[in-house]
Amino acid sequence: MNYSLDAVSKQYSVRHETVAALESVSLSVQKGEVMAILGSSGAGKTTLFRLLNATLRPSSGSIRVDGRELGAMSSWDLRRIRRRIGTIYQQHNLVPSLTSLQNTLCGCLGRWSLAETIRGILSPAKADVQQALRALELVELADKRNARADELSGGQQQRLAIARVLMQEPEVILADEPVASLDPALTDGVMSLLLRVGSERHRTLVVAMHKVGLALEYFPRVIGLRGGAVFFDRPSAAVDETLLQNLYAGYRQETRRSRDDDRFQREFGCVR
Amino acid sequence: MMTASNANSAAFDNGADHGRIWTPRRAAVIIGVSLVLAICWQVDDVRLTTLIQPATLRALWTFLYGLFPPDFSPGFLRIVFHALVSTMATAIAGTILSVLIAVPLGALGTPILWRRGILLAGENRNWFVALQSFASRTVLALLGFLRAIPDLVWGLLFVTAVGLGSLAGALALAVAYAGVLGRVYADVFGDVDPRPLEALQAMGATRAQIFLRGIWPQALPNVTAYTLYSFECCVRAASVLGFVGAGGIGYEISLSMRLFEYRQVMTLILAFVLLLFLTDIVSRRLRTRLGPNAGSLRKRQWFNGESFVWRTAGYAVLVVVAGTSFYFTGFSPDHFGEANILKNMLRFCRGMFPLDFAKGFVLSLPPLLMQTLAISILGSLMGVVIGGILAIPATSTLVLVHPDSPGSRSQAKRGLRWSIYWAARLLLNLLRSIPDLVWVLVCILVVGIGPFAGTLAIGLHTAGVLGKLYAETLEEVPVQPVEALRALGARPLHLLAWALWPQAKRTLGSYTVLRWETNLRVSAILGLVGGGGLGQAIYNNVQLGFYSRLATLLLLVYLLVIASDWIGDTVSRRTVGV
Repeated sequence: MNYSLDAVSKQYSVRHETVAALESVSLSVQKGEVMAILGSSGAGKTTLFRLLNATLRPSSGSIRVDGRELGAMSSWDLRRIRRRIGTIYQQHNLVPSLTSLQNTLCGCLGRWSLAETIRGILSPAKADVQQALRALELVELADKRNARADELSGGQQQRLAIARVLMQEPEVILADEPVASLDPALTDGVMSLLLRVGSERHRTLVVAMHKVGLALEYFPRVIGLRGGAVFFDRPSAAVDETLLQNLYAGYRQETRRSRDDDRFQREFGCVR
Repeated sequence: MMTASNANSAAFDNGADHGRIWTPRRAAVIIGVSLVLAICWQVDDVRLTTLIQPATLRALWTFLYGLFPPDFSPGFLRIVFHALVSTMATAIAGTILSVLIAVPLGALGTPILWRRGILLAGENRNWFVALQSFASRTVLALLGFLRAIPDLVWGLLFVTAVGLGSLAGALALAVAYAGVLGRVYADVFGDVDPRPLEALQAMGATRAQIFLRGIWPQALPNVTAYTLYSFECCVRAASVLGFVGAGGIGYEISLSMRLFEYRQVMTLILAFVLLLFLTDIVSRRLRTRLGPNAGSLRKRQWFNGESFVWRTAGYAVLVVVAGTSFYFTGFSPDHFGEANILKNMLRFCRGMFPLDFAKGFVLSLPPLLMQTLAISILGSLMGVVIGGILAIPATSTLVLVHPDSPGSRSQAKRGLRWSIYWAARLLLNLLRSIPDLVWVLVCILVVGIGPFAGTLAIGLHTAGVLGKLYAETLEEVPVQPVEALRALGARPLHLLAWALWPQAKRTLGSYTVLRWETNLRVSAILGLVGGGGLGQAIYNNVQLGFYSRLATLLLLVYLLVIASDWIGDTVSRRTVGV
């Protein structure tokens, strides 16, 4: 899947004034590319991810996927695009009252029909269950298959979210701060798992993160976002200390919750 | 509205500053209120003298005397039992049908799925999306309409359409409570955590899949709790629907009442109270087990986990109960298959259109509307006065004393206080647990058919409801000021005036207005059993077969309920907001 973003901007209206989350972002992502996105809180990473997985309409500019303009697509076509993009959310976004196995099976929804979904609630097809169990084994959660998602620890929820994406079999994986809530021991495991999954089947992997060291170590291409605009976009070897200092200069991480999320909450009136 | 009230309170403050009791504004308010009350008094045909006439007192005495002893003869107990079973079956069938209608309508009415929010942020604007949003709004409006027509009126409509009996009752409950539940479901569905929904959408799930896999599992505990609560309301309503001929225990009560068999009435009312009591217990237990606060792990596993046998048994019981209920209610094929039922229904619906707006008829409506308003206002006022007076002895803070406190050692004094408290509570419970429609039948016996009977009935029932609420509100105020005043040597009435009233008056006021809103709806239907107002006209036009006039009256009831909703919303928002 090839992305190309051309002068994409996104504004939220917060109490009758517009706040820009992204300003005139242009970039292209080739199939199979592995890249990291750096930037402080409020730089627009989460908004960029929502645009990339086709769940947010840009205010202006165009997003093309394999040459097709997202803004001109019907809901049906948009769903077919979304099916091919797997997203790992910062807050995991699991269905709290479903078990790990059921949450993993949710990864099938894009390819299931309504009848198959209803069947999946009552007694899912054996092949799907097998696949889900394999995904759970890969993230070492097979023993928790019947535990509810809200009974899992933060790290386990993170891995369950990965299992759900594995079940989806996407061509692109977007991961928003996948290691932010993990301790150092788990961080390495999750990062290498993501990279391994990404390298399978020549998948595109885009990871947003705070940890500069990790990004430079694992990812060949790094994009720096600052104040909603692309600050740099270059191979990780060409990223130096002054560039990074400038990237974070003037932005303090005052709150743990990103400003991006605050805007989204005000715009859509939901708790995040 | 808000600014007016702010100006109002500012004026009051000024008045207080100057130490003047009589400000022009207060005088105007008092004159206005007295004028309204005087008009209501006239419209309602209030005849206080009839209340103390010997004939009235004799009728009341005959009735009260006639209630005892209750009729416990085996033959009548069999009738009571049958009535109870049929009431229960009607309630169960009605609840199941209403849930079946309400779930899809509630899903269609959920804003987050169709109208605004996270799931629509990625949708390109086109006619299809606009159509979905419009359809969702339409469904919500439809639910509002179903909810606004009182269940008793639905009962009357279905009795006319499909004939006397439980079937009409079950259908009426299904429609009326589908409106209530659909709205509640839409709210519950809209309140789930939207993040999982976003994730499911990003995977390419359709709206139906998002609902099934994202919304439903999250909403299920709340949906269960509200459904059980609605079931309780359905049992109550199924008992009352009999007054318009929809079977069940209400039918037996009105029958015995008309036959002057008061001993039977007593038995039936006892059975009715018992039924409500049992339903309350069962539903409360189920709610704690299945509801949103049933968090404990072990309980959930008991129900949710591997215990296959238990689950299957539970479902089997559910299916058997549901099937039996439907059969008892008259959903059997030989009954429902009769062609004329559907034909009657169609003819009835066709008869309602076009609505009757003939000049003579429309001009007859304002007096009816006035009468309904007057019944609700005077009835509520009566309830406030009686309930307020009864609430004082029913407030434990005022009446009961701590056994350790000095000065009240004497056993006899304590016993006296204790019995005053419980007598007041018992009286309030009695007034409250007898439905307002039964009170109408009682009042008709005493003062005859008409708006006055309706007013008295509302007043008595409201006294019970408000008295209990008042007493509980007064008991729940912060206790420190009360203790301080008591330590100063304040007597109970001082406590009431200086410690309880200032802290509770806002809550008391909002309860009163909300109850008046409820009473306005009730007063629109009291006429169905002879209590005057719009209901009387509805009943007459149904009996006479003037269905287009009936439709106009229904529209009027709908508007009235919308207006009362608006008043209630404004009041509760203001009290919560300030």
